[in-house]
Amino acid sequence: MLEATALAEGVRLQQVSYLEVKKMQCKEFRELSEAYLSDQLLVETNLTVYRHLEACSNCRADFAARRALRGRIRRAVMEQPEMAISPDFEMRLRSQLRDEAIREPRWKGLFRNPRLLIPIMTALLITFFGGYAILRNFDTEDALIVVSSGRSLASFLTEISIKAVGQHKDCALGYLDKWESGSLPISGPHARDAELVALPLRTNISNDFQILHSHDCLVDGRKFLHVIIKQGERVVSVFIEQTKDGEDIVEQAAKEDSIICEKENGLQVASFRVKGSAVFVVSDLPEPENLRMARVLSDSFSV
Amino acid sequence: MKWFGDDKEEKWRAFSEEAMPFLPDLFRVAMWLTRNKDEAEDLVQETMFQGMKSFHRYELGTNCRAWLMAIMHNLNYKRIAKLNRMTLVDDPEEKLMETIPFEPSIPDQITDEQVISALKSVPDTFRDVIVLSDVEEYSYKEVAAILNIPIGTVMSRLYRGRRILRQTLAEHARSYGFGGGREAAAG
Repeated sequence: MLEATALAEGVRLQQVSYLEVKKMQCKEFRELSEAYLSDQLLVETNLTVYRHLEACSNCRADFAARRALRGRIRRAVMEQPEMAISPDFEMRLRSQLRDEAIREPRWKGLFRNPRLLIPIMTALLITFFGGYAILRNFDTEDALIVVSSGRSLASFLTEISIKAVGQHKDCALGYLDKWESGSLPISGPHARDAELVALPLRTNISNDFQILHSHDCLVDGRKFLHVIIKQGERVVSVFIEQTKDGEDIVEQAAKEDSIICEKENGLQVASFRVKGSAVFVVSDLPEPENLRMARVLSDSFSV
Repeated sequence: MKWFGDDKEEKWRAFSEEAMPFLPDLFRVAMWLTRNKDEAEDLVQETMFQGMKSFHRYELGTNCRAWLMAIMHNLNYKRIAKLNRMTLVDDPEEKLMETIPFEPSIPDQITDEQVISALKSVPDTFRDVIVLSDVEEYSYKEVAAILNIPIGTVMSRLYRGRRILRQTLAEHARSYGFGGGREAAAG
């Protein structure tokens, strides 16, 4: 019955006009009041309703109460702290979405086809044993450092550098106003870690390095400590990989004194590996300055 | 498909600029749909991943907020169906409405907590429409598209939902000792 009433209201919304209904009755107003409250009436009908409200104090009081309640509901919901999204979740989700967006095609899907599985596995075995045989003949000092997945350290760092730059743009620069306003507190352990980054920079380069924020971020699905610092007007991100105890992506034989510098999307990235963790320094500083920061941090972290 | 090329960064940038600003809105509605922070976060996450996957179907510059909200409600229907918690509320509410003899007014002393509590007590079917229309300020047409129901049903549910809400708030007020007497007498 009420559905029928609502549909009738719908028809009325289309049909009622100022010319047709010069004087609205209270009963008609009540039928239209919900749609009027939601501002969903035609202009002509609005005018008719408005004139009725001017003339009828009972309907005016009733409508004012309904409108006040509507505003009250909206305000009460908007001001509930539990209804606000957490910044941590927002950043985590952004990072995951970005990783997903720029991820390479799902080559793993090939394995779902049993007809392709045998040749692929055969090729992988040949590659693995062939590669192992070749590497055994190399001088370990001069050979490329090989990551467990088969990538060199350089290609490993380069690949993640691109994502670190994206994370710097999305997180450090994207939320810069929040970091600068200090509205998001830094947890105790993160504050200590940030000091470990800022202190050697202040000691060795300049005293004006300011910590904006420190938190965990996902880059390429790996957990990194993300320290955002500022020197003058320049914002710098330092990403330090958080490896689990005993877990190391690159073999310990890695040359830990090499720093790789690259330019990605207009930003400088200096990356290096220390004590099993990959470290990325991202900024819009000139290459020598960005590299200098990476050197200072590399020396500091190696101790 | 015309709005971005094969560049993944460009695609991400477009999605990020169009969709990410609506995360707080999605989360707020998800909290009403799930009543649980973890589930709300899961629902928002699933919505955003689904939105990104289907972003080629979205026409840039149109109503991205309503588009994402529609995806979220669809996913929520599936979630509820999975949990096997689908309930029919129309008929009992129809009877409830018929038993409400008068339209009580709401005293000013009602607190925000009481308003939220009253809104929580409104049956899901009606509350979804109140939240979308009165809190999130979607038009009837947008609410109809999001919930995949006719505009007439939106109007009907909104009418009933608001009425239940007013009734509940009046009861709250009476239980706290203010308001309601005059209306009761009038009824």
